[in-house]
Amino acid sequence: MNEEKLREILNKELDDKVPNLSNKILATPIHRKDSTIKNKTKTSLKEKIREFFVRKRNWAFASAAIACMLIVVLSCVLFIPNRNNTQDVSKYTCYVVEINPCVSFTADENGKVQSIYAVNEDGNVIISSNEITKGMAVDDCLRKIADLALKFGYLDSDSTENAIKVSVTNNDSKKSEKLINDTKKCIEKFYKEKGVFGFVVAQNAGLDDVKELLGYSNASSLNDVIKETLNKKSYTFEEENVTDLIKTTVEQVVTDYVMSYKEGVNSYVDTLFDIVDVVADDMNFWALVDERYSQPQPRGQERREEEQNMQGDPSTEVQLAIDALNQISKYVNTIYPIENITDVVTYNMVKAAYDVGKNSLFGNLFSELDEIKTKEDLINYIKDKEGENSQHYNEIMSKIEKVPTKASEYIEKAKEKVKSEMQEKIEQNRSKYDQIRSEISESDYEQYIQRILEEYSSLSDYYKHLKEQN
Amino acid sequence: MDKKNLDLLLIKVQNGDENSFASFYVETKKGLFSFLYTYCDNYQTCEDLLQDTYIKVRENIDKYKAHSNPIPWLFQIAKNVALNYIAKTKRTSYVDFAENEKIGGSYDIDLETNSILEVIKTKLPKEEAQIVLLHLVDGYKNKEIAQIVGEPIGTVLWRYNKAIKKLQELLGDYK
Repeated sequence: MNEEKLREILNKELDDKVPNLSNKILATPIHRKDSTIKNKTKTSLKEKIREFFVRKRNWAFASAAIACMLIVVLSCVLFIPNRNNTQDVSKYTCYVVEINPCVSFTADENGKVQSIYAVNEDGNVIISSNEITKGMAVDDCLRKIADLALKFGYLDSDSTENAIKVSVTNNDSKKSEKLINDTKKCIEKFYKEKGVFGFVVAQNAGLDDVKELLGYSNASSLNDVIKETLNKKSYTFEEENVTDLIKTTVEQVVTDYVMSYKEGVNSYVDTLFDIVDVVADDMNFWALVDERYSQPQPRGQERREEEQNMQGDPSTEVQLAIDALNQISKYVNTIYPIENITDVVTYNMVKAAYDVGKNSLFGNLFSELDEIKTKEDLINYIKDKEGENSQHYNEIMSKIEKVPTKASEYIEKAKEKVKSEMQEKIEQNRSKYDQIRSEISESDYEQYIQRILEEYSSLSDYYKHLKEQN
Repeated sequence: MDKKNLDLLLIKVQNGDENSFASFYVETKKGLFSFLYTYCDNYQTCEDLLQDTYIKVRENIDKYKAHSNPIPWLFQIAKNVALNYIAKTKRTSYVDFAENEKIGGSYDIDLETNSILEVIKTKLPKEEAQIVLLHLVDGYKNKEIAQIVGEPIGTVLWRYNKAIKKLQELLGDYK
């Protein structure tokens, strides 16, 4: 049962249980306040002072916001992914931040961010904000990632189960230790300032760890890992992948079309079956009527003779079937009164036509459609069957034409998708994020960490526990 | 209703406005009743304590500080009323969780006979039950709850998360 359901049931229960205002309460006199006027004057003065400061602060906030925006815009313009493979990266550090959005970034020996990329889809949402830029200090980058995670709801200010894991990779183990400590302090500071109860697991990651985390199976040294990370872009659609993407998309369009075509044929076959069933039921009724009055239908008798004469001539049978199919389609399309097919002969004719149609036309159609796998198969099939001016041919051609064929188009589409996801997340969490929270005091935070350690032997164990739970 | 509106109502009550008192009662009675219930063994006692709390509100309305948050003030009165009652009757009427845990594993909760309020009261320690009820019934914010129960905000959050998990385990897929 979720919290909302609990809230709903509990409130319903209390609606029945809690008494209304009793006379006994109302009988108690209200002790009125005499100093209301004096108090009011005092308060209004206080209010004025408060208002004055709030206004001042608003101006300060506005100027700060404009300055921040300018910095972000300028940094965005200046940010160009580093593609220089020849540079000495031995002193660089690779960070992998897991919240659950997972992002990885590299920093140079001066602690300035050189590249950043998303390890998973949620990571793309974080990066798509464009708020992390080249040259940013590592501390600022970590804070920004955590803040965006809070803004997008990956961290929850109403929970005590917020966890950030940072894996740090550097060739110098002593430096790694310092960087791990700095990372820990930076994120803990963020938690306290934002009033969010969360913990951080910062650890050193060796070559094997980082290879597994980032999927770099070919890397043979930490330098390889850093070089690889430097060359990664946020949107990981590389040029060489586009051919595969186009192929997959076109195949999807073709399959969808064939499936809907089959579905249409299938529903047509079902309708025919339904008509045959209705006609059969109807026949029983008329057969009874015929027996009761012993008056065979003269037209039916004639047709029966006709049918007997035609037996053994397959071309006539097929023609008969096609005629009947046309007749059926007339019923299907116009909902023509079904009572019009009331004699046995017509029924037999419809049935025979149906069988012929099913075995020849539809049966073959299904097996033919199974052979259509590629764009060319489909285009040729429809061209042969229905001609270049047919509705189906035009439909499929316009669909296939819309499939993006350039890397930039795919990247643009991916960006649009991620941006809309980001906007959605911001909207969903706006009220929570905008809510002003009090800072957490050192002692409260200590108490919180202590409580985790009392229940779990280490923060890493608690992190593992939370991961398993999710 | 938020604290600002409740504050406005109490300011009007300070001037003798009975209608504002009635509105204040309607807005706060459910949260207060469930909070007091964590101190009582039955609904009758709880009704009496609720009545006594609002009588105290009327008697002490002149002591309410205008433009402050009325929620902790109201709950402090309720807490005092409940503690006085316990002192008078010389017994604590809520079930201790340590005891409760022993019982907990041995029988299933029958929601036909036990209300959710009852489950919260009997299956959770009093501190957790109060936090859960304040959250769920009146939707008070963590900061307000921290003021009401006199605990740091982190403790409140921690207890709430723990209690909700326990409740979800206990109540399972109940619809």
